[in-house]
Amino acid sequence: MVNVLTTALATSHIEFYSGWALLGILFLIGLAFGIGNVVLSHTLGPARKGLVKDSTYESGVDPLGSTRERFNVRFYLVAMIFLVFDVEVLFIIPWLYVFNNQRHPWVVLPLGALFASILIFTLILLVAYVYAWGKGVFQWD
Amino acid sequence: MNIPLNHLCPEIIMIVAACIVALLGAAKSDSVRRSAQWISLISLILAFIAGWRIGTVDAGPAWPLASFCTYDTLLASGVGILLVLLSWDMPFALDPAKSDQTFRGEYFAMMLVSLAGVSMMAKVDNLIWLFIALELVSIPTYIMVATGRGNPAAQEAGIKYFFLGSLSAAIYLFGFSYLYGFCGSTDFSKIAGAFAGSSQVPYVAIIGLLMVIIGIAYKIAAVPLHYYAPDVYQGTATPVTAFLSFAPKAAGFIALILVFNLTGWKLSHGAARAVPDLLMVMAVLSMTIGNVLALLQRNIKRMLAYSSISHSGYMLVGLAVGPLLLSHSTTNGISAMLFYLGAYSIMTVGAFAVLVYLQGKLDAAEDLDDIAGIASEHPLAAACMAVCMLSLIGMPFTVGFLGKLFIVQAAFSSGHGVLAVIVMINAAIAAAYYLSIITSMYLRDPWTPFSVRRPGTIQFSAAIAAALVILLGLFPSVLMSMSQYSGSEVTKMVAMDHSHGAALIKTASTLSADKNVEMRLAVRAH
Repeated sequence: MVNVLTTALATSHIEFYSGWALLGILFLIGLAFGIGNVVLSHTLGPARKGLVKDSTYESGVDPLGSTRERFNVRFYLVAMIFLVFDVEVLFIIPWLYVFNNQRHPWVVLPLGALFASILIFTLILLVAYVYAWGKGVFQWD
Repeated sequence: MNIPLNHLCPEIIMIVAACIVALLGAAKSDSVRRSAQWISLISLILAFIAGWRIGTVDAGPAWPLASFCTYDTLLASGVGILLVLLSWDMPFALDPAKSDQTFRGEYFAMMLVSLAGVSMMAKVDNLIWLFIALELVSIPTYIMVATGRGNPAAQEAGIKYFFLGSLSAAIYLFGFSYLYGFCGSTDFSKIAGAFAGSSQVPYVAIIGLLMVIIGIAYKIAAVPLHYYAPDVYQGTATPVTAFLSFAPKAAGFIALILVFNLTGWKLSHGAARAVPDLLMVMAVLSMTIGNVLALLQRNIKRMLAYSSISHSGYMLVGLAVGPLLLSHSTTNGISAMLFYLGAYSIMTVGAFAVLVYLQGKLDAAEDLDDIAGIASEHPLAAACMAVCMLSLIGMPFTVGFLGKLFIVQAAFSSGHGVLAVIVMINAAIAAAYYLSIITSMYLRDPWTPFSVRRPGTIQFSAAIAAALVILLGLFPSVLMSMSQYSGSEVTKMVAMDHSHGAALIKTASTLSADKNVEMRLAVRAH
């Protein structure tokens, strides 16, 4: 679809801006994702009302008041699990770039070894995830 | 890392075992979690065997630091076995009813990861790898210090250790950035080439080296970054103290050797003279401050912390006089330092094992009063402690004597007679507080009722360590030839014959007398 769009744009009279078409599409996807999520959670999600639910950052911290308060330690635990996936993405994207570009000077391993290395990496991250699961990090009670 | 994957076999074994042990730590039942110690022990034995086998296989010129790496791996896994044995029922639960809520799996997983870092240290060939290996050693120890025992002192020790450790990591990373700025690469071979190409070491590289030394001084607990050591050693559980006196120290010294190896060891002229001068000042201050302050302590863990500072000083002497000698390999300071590192690890771990075995007021014996008169009830434990203490003093027929002998010999024959005399004076000062432990055990009446810790492995590790102290003191040829080959390999003074070089351990273990080793080395040097 993207190719069709770009070629369509490239042949049109706004040729000069065709390079920006991808950015525009990204913007549209972002907009649709944001609006879609709000609409979907509004229509599909259970509707509960209450003082806490109506506040900003529902179920989170108090938006008004002293900032020098102690946070529940669960926030940190979830943040650290978030880091597991963050690091995963951080490494997988450059890996993909190298994997997809075999004549790149960084490529020192054969294709199979390159694939095996990322599998091992994901496996190690999976160990961290399973460990956190076993320790009950995802139970909020 | 530019070495074949099978040479990383010991580290891979340890990391895989660490993953398994960590997963077991999340298990609900305590009986499952109790397998953590066994898995750790078996994996370390396998890593030791793998390291030994790799050391005896000829790697050729492709792996110029083969015996240095092998020595490091054998040290990490061998002392690691003793450390696992002595922390068998870790972490201590102060309340026995809550013993099923301990972090047993986590503790052993962290230990294995840290030991893998120590073992990997000698194999790095890039500043980034060096940093990762150093942090792989350090970060697990921050967790071990804090979770080792559930009291506020351990939490305080953990916080102190963590923040100062991060500070030191920042300092040596800053130093690495100067080294990178000097030659535009983090690759060891490129940095070494840049040092070899410059007739005068430029200031930017000297600043980098000085910052690396200061940052790593924290890991080895040398003056001026020694302040944390007594508090942290005292605050945390005794098995963790034993671990701290080995893992960061070994890693730090090996990192320092690697960094100096980059410079081609030509730091004795011009402004670069500042680097060995700094090392010498640090060595003298560490020895003297460590020993004098240890005299004032009544808490044995605190005393051993100061003793650890002073032993870092002795090893820094070896590093400072370094490879200044070109003739004979026994007097190579680096070899002497590596020998001392192995000797010190064994004797200090043995001393801590005895403290863990004797259960004191908190979790292990701490005060001089706690061990008063134990010789009558527990003669074996007292004997092990006495052997380790005599070795720490440097009495003949122990491995500690040979360690000090080689250091002094290296200092003398490189023309640093003053340093050698300071080492000997300090050894005499140190005798006072080590002997006070022995007199407390043998000559005093019991002060408090004794109880001993149940697992037999703790006693076993103390006995192994004490036996090794004596055996290696009488038959040092294995440890000696390994440290000599490693030292001469790193300093590139003895032109290594690569067709035989890597197979050194095989030949070393078959050599019976030290004389033989010396003769072979002398022959090879010509």
